[in-house]
Amino acid sequence: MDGASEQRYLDDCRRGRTVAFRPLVDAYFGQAVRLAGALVGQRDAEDVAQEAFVAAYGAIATHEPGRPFYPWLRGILVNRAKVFIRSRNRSRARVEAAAQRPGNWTVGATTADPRLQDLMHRALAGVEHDDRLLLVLKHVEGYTYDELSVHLGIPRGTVMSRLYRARQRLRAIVQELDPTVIQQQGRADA
Amino acid sequence: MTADQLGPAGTAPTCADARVLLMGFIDGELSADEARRIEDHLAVCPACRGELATYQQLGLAAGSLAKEEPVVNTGLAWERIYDRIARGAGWLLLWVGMTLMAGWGLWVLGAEFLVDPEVPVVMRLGVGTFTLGSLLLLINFLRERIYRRKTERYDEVVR
Repeated sequence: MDGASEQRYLDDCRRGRTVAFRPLVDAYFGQAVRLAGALVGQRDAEDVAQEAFVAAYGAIATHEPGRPFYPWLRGILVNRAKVFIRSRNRSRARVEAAAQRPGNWTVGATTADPRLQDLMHRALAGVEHDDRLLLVLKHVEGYTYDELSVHLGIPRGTVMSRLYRARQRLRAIVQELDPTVIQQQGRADA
Repeated sequence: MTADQLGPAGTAPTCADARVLLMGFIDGELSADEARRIEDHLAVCPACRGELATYQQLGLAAGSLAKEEPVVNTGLAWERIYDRIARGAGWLLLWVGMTLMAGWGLWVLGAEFLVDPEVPVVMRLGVGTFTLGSLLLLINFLRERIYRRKTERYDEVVR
């Protein structure tokens, strides 16, 4: 979707034309589900993505005209995911069990190994939420350190040290789940 | 971790410092000076070179999630999102309407029915307590809805 069309749809939404929200759902729902899947697990990804879209429509008046939609939606989605995880942390085992189940989505065309992706989902599910958020924003959404610093409200230098800690934990879990995966990945990319 | 924390220019960073900075090195987030000093350290430290390779592989593995393209039914998703949006407006209108009707009903009841001497006392008492009970239930229901909305946003999600 080009920027001009997107802004036109957003303007229409601000005027209360709910149907103008549909092209935005069509354009970004897949991306939102992917991000939600990495944050809360595939099983609940669509629910959380839908929550984020509903919340975004409800707050559409606060979206600054001219700004792209997806980064704004992404901020809402990340906050929804935080609430979602917090609300289910009362029974943490359930969260992790849910996140580790394969879910009900079908992975479409991908240039990566689906088994590796499944392993990484399971590994991420074992990482504390704050670290998972940091890793997902970096590796899935491609945030820069400056963006992470702003989004997480921490100094840029702290981003690097927290990434180190988060990656150490992820590495330990990956090696526990499948000690060969990092080496295999290395050989494949060599 | 900044260039200052690496120690004075010309001194080699320790492995502990270098390993944190490896993150920025891998992500292309170091300044030219920081990157050069890490490269100098890597040139003489096989252990940190091993760490670099491991974290590069881990980064590739984690980055594989960015290539996922979940197959989603956007038509169905839109129906559900639209339903939630429309349902929200519907509930609001419903409650406004019910409040207006209840207010009007109470006014009529108080002004005409309950003070009408021709209506038997038992009937007035019955209608009065029935109305009061209904109001209490309505208020209790609204309070519960508001409380749950504040504390549990995902209660209605079917899993």
